[in-house]
Amino acid sequence: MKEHKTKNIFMQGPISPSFIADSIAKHSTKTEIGAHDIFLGQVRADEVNGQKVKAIEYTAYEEMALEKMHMIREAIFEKYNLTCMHIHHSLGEIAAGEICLFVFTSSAHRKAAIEACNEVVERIKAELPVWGKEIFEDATHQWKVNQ
Amino acid sequence: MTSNSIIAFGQIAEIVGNNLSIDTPDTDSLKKILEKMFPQLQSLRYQIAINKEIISTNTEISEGAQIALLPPFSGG
Repeated sequence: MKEHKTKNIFMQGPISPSFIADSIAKHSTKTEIGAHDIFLGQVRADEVNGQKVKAIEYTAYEEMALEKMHMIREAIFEKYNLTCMHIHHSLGEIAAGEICLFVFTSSAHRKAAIEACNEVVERIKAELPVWGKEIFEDATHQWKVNQ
Repeated sequence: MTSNSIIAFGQIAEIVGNNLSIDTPDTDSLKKILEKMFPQLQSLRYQIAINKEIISTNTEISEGAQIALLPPFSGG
């Protein structure tokens, strides 16, 4: 099994489309890869009681989240034949329409990349101590609940 | 014995703040003290982590242990 050190998945602010494009471009030298799968989470302008969500402010128990993410990463590499996996999660205030989660898996054949990507996204949402505060246009807020 | 400081997140942090220190031997008694100080907690869902491990049964709190109060996760 490959060794993967604990990586910091958190970045302050939104994940820019150019960052995602650069990340894809960096894989052109890895010619053993035949398939990528990418999940992008975008902040949705939900409407609750006539108020629209204008942003989500993310906070995390970072030390615990990174330890947990490391365990998830190890389990995913154990289960799927992946070439690589990259995960980025935003912290701070992310406006509606901006990207807040970027999961990128690569493998020789599509099945591993697709299944691993899906499983990682589900586990991130269920297991990482991260919280989203939905901020409305009138500056009131509610705490996001994952479906 | 020194008391353990408690870090809280999300909605729980809005209620208990982040300057809380409680001297208590285990997580059951911690819960009782917290819910007496902050009755709103009784109707909210939250988990307790000791040294970054979520506890599922009553757990001893050793000196210097990191206590965290975690509402339901909503990342991604």
